[in-house]
Amino acid sequence: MIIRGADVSRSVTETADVCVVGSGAAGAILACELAERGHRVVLLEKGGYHPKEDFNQKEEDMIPMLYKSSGLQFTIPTGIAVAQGSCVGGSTVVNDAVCFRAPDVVLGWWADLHKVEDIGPDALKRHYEKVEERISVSEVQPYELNKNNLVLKRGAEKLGWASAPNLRNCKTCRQCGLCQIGCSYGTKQSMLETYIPDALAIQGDPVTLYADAEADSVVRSGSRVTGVKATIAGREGRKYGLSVEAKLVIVSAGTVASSALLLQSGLNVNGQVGEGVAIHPSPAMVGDFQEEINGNQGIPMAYHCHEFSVLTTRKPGYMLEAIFMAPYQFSLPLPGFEYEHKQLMSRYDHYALIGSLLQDESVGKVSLGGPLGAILEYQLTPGDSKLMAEGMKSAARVLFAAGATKVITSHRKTTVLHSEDDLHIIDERGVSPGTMSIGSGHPQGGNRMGGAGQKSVVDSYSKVHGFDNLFVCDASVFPTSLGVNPQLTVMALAARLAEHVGENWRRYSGVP
Amino acid sequence: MLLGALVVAVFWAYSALLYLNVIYFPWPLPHWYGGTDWMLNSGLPLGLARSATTDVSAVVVFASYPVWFYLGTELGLAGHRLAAAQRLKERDRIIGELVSTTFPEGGAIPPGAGQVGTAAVVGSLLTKIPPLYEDALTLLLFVFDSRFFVLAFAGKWKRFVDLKGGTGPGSEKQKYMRAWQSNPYLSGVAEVLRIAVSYGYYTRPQVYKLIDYSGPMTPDLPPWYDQGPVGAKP
Repeated sequence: MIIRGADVSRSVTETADVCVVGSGAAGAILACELAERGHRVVLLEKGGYHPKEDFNQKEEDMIPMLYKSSGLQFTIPTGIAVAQGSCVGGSTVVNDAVCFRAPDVVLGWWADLHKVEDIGPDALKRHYEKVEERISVSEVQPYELNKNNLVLKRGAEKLGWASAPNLRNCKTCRQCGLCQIGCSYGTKQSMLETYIPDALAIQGDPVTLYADAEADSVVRSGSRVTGVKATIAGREGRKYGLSVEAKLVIVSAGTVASSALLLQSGLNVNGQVGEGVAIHPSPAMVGDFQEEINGNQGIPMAYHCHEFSVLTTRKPGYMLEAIFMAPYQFSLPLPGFEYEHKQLMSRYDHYALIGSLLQDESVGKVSLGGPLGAILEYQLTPGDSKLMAEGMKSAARVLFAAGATKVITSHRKTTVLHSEDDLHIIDERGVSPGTMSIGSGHPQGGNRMGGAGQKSVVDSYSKVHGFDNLFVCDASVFPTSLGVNPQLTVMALAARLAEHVGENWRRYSGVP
Repeated sequence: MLLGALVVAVFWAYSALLYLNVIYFPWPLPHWYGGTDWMLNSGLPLGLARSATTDVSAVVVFASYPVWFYLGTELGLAGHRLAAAQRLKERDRIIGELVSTTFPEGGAIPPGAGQVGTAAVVGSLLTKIPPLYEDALTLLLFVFDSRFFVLAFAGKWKRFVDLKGGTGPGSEKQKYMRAWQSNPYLSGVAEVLRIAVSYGYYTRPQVYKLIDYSGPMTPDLPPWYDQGPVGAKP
């Protein structure tokens, strides 16, 4: 059963076995799988419920509807735009459907350095496989690569760099190029098309999904939690209270919101909540080609180059990913304003774009220090800046190798490279958020997973240290930056937790 | 309503006790005057002492308290609404000048911000973000517009909206905006404004056409959709 804010005209009290906060990559799976195991679940989502019929492919309407803070979420003081979904289905509704399993070496770091148990590739394999089957993960076929993706393929192959088509969670993709503003054809197998409807179709109606319901606090009683207090944006703009009494609470609201909820609930028992945030900062490099590229026509993210990523080098690096966006989002990394920016944007159909996803150090922090509530403090370390500069140069080399006549960097001061001989200009301009427009779509960390004695918030199975029945499951539990697109790993961790909770229900729920 | 009734009740009780000289003024603080000294029966200025007439008058005066409270509250709210309306009007003016400086008429994409309704779209965006974010962005716009910052970065004791506009090197507005973008401490803030303003321009259908962006196509399939060699089309 779905209850939207507009359906509510009084305060409500619910009783459930499990209350899950957040309906994204983790929350939807947890709700569905725990309900399939016979538990009654109340699922809370701050954003609205918007089926695919609501997606009109207009940035003007979709960005405020589907993105957290209408896309205006920034790091402090660096001003990096951090995109997160805020709707039923979470970021899976607005991402590019790219699926990577966690690199083996990263899982090794989590096990060896952070003492996380049962986290290796073999331990996660069956969870990955289960999720991949349900969300229809498959490799992009050669005929599905548009010119923007082929630029990366051609350039990487010329340079002899390792590259491959992406795996995506999509069925019979219509190639409209608008994954980032909701799939109006319903072919992207986001949570909205898979686990959410599955959960709502379970016989006996064990799942109640509240949309427009923002969790205010987790209610504590000693070492146990007893439920969640929330506020529903109800009918005629009025706010109503929602009190959920539950035997077990799982916070899956995403990095930033999950840490913020624990902090505002006074549950930062070991002082680690909010610490260790990474964001995969990703500067864009735009190649200008004589021929039309029409990068918006076709799958935006279908190909990657992993020559310098942790997948190949087994150390922190960067991944080059072809990506394209509709005009507003595309305009953001282009420098300048007035006629200069118009001149640059007038070549929209001749551009190819490569993003360089940086596997950054986890030095960010979520706190409640500001008048805006939760804030995300973040800086690039000197090591990050150096690696980012290398990533930008590699992206430029790929673009030139593929035939670009010039490459525009995302420095705020217009910086145009005309050949590989100009790569030194990147260093001269400086690589930092103060001099560049940098985007991020993968905040992670803040409630890090770790064994005893580690700087962590949750244990190896996502249970919050010091509590018997409180869990966090989303990208915020990553102990380090993942280095690849994170949604599939979030989903696998959710499937793993659902199984674990199901098998240990009596222990966690306190029910004899 | 409950709070209002409570306030009136407190005033009634306090006034009645003063009138009856049960408590002193300003009870429970130190004793300055007797209870009646501030009331109708103080003897000043008409020499009125307590009588049946003053008792009736006092009841009438006390009964009128809710009216005065109501009128006072309404007056205060009206002032607040007036100030809020003025603030919104000024905010819209700043947005209007900001977008027309960022996207003037002419150039490779000819329509200016004014011709595609950019200011209205940015204004509507502000109503769609959380109220605290809207307040913060509004404050940011006023800071950007303030004489102090314009003096510091453009050398003029003027608001941004009053700077000389136009295009080219003679534009004071452009000089000021460039100063924000190149300042390491303000560039992050300038980035926030740039993103908000770009939303109002590059989401417009008139602009889409001029950059050969195919725009929304749902519920139709994209014209370039290729079912591929293995027949991906259902």
